Amino acid sequence: MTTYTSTVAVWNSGILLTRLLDKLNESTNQSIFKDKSIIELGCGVGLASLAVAKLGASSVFATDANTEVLELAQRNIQQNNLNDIIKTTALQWGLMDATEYESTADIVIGSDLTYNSGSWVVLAETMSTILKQDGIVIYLTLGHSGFNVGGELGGFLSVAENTGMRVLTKDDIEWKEKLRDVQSVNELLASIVTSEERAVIDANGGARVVILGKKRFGRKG
Amino acid sequence: MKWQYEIIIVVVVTLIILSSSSAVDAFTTLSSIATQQNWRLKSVLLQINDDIFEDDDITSLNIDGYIQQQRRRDFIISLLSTSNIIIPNSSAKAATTEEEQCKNGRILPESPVPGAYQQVCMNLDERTFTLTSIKEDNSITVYQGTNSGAGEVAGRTGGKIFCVHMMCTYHMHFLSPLAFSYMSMLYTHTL
Repeated sequence: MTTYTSTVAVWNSGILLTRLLDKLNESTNQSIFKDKSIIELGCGVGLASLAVAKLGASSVFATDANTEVLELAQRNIQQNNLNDIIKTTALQWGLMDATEYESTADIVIGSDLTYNSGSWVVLAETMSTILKQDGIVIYLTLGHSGFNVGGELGGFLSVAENTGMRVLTKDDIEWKEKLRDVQSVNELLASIVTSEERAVIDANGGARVVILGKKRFGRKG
Repeated sequence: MKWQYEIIIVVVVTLIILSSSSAVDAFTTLSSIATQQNWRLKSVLLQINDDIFEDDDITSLNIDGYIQQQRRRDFIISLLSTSNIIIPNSSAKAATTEEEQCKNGRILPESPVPGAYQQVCMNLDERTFTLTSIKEDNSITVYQGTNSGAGEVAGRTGGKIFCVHMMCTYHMHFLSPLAFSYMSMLYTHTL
C-alpha cells in the first residue's frame, strides 16, 4: 500500500475552502479570524493559510507532512509578505506530534484530508489535541471521481466522535461565538460558486463542510 | 484585380492559421480548401516565405502536386517557422487560454490520472486569488509545484488516491448505510 501526499497544486477543494473562509469573514463582520490563532492541516501550497492571515489572524501555522511541500508553502508566504504571521511546520498526524501544539488553535482549517480512511484516527486525534476547548474546526471535503464523499466524511465523523470531537450546529455556544449569525454553512457554500462550478462539483458527488468542536464534559453548551 | 485577389487570400489564410491549434492543422486546412477550390497558392506561399520558394516553382503547380515533391518537407518547416513569427505560436495561445480559464481560482473539472487527479490549472506556474471580504491588500499569489515554477516536487498534480482506502470509502455507505446516512443528514452541510 502506497501512502503519500504531495499537494503541489491548488486543488478545487482548497479554492472552495478559501472562498468559504472569505465568505465567513464577511458574514461575521470580519470577526471570525481577527486576532485568532489558526492551524491549517495539510496546507499544500498554503492558500488557505495565506487567506486567513490576510483576513486578520494573529498567528497561523501552515502544517503538512511533506517537507518539500512546506518549502513551496514557505516560498508563497514570502511572496505574499506574510512571514510575520504564518509559520510552516512539518506535522505528522497523531498524538506524538500534536501534543506540541496542544490547545493552541482557536480555529483549525483543512480540506480534502479524509480520503484516506487509514488516517482518520490520527487526524481526529490531531484535531482534538491542537484545538482549544472553545475552538472550532472548519473542514471541507469535495467529491472526486471514484470516491463517495458522503461515506468518506461520515466515516471520519464517526471516528472523530470517539476522540473527543463533536459536530457543531448553530445552537452550540462555539458556533454562536465564532460564526455569530451564520445560520447555515450550506447556504454560504451555495453562494460562493457559479452555476457552472456547481455542475462541476455536483458531477463528482458534491461538497461537504462540517464545523467541529470539542466535546464538553459535565456542562451543557 | 490581381492584387485584391491576393489580399483576400492572405486574409483568409491568416484567419485559418489563427483559428487552428497548430501550423500543421492550418496547413491541412489550407490544402483541403485549395484542393476543393482548385486554387493556386502562389500568393499564399510567397506571402509565407518567399525566400525559399521561387515564383516559377509555384505557378505551375497546385498544392497537391507540390506536396508530392521532395521539397514538401522544406515547405512544412518553413510554414511552421514562419507561422511562429507572424502569429502567436500554439503553445503561447494555449497558455493564454489556460490562464483565462483559471482566472481568480475558477473551479474546473478534474480528470483522474493514475494515482492522482489532474486539471488544466495545475499546469500554471502561479495562480492569483482575490479575497472579497476585505478591500485592501486582498490579493494572494501562490506558486504551484510546476517544474518551471518551484522546482521538481513530485510532479504537478500530487498523489491522492490510494487504492485500498479508496475502495473502503467508496463502499462505506454499503457497509453501514444507516449510520452514515443518518450522520450525513444531521451533521454535515451539503452543497
